[in-house]
Amino acid sequence: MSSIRTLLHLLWVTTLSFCIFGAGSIQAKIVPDFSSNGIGWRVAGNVDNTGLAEVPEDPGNGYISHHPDWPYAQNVVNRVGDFTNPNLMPWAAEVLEERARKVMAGGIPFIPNSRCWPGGVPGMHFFPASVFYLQTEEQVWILNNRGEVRRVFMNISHSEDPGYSWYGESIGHYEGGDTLVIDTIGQDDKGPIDRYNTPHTRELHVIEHHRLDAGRQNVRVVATIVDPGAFRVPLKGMINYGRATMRGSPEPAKWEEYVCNENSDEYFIPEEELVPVPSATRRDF
Amino acid sequence: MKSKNSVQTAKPGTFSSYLALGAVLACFALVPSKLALAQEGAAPSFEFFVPEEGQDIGGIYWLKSYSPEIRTMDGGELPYTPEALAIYEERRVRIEASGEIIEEDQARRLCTPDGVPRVLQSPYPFEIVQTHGQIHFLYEINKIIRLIRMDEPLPDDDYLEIFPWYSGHSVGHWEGDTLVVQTGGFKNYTFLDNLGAPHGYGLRVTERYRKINDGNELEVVVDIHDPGVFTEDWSARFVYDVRPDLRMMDWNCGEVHRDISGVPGVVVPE
Repeated sequence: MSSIRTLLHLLWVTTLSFCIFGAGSIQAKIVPDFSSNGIGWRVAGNVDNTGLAEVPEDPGNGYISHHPDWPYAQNVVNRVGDFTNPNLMPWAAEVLEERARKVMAGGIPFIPNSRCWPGGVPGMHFFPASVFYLQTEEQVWILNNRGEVRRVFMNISHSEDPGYSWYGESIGHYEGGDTLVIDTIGQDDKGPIDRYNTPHTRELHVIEHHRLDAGRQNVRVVATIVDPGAFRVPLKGMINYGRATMRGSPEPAKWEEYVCNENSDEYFIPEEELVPVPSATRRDF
Repeated sequence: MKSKNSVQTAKPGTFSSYLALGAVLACFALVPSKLALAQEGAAPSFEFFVPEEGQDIGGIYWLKSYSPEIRTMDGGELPYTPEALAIYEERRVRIEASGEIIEEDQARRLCTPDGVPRVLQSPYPFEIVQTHGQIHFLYEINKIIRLIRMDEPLPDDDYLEIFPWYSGHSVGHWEGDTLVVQTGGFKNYTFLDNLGAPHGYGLRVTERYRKINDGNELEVVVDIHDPGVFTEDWSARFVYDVRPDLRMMDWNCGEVHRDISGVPGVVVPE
């Protein structure tokens, strides 16, 4: 009888464990479909591609925005970062002010990404180019119609020494059946974190939550930016993607070859104001 | 006695049995609601692409042996028309003269895409990503992206001529264990090889990829059709090692790239 009792007990425990944990793990195994069979996403909603927007339900410590005194703050071309933001470490405020004052003096707010260098993370989000996710069990690729490729390795830990690169090392996992969580470290300090030209250090650590809405029409990316070398407390902001359509047509946008670095000669802007485009003079092989 | 009492508590009508029954009912109520929540909060679960047997071509590959010159399958020279041959020879002289990049070689000077078949002889790795209805070739060199739309027709000749791409427009299909990729619509200022081999707008390329050597290598046989430039069609062949141990790296013109000195045939200019 004792064995029957033990068996019954085990049965209840197993059943209850499944109820409590099993269903949760089934939910966790639901993989949101960001790839949409080759149809792209494009920055949409309440952002103007200049940087992260405030997360409505969680303003947190905010993000870098336009300098409040800059009279053309609504002009998305002349982006002037708020170098008085108290969250900036002194050196970062100094660098941002130098860049901002150049624009205030009539300069053009080029960032490396606007001259064909990689956007990095989260900078890749701020270009109005269609974005495409490719999903396999082991990896997610995030491509855009600006010729950028970003790789996310799924369900693994960071390397001991990932080194430094434009996109760093990204690892990811799915959460809650609708969210792709990406954790990125190892980015070098060549590019800014946004289109205000806000600098960062190699300590930059970005955690993104890409959440697909129930109707599969929008992706909200909330990025938490941790960089104790540049910011006193982590920044938090978001960017929204909607379904991309072809220019002048309701047809969904499909991938097209885009080569940033063609026709990169500039005839109207003095060379000293330009960020040089990537180029080489010597062959590698 | 203790054991007997315990068993008795599970009899119908006792408090414990009601508790246990309640737990089971709660479970059946809870599981569907959790699943429903998951379904409500997100789209239906994405189904990862599963290739047919013998058609799994996803992975990272690296050229086994490099040559800057493209040759036909039997090792012969390309069957250029005299006019095209003159352009080729003039470029070769300038390219081989030094490590400098010649002015018209945008792929090396500005890192625009190499074009096909030049990119097939790159001494840097590339990866193939298979997903539903499409295959992406992602090359490390110049971070080139090629999209192969599966089981779709190639756009018509007018479209290909009016909207040329560096890498051309590509469609693909499977013939058994061989991936057949057809490409047309190239910009005419890409080269066919690393010595400046020219081509025309009429270039059509067919690539046939298959795993060989027990799946440890990938072979591509590429057929070239460009009647304005060649006196006859010709083919070339490239072989790559399967390299699951590699990770693809970032690429930007003028920066330091992966060490390729171990690839046979590579000569790094001084």
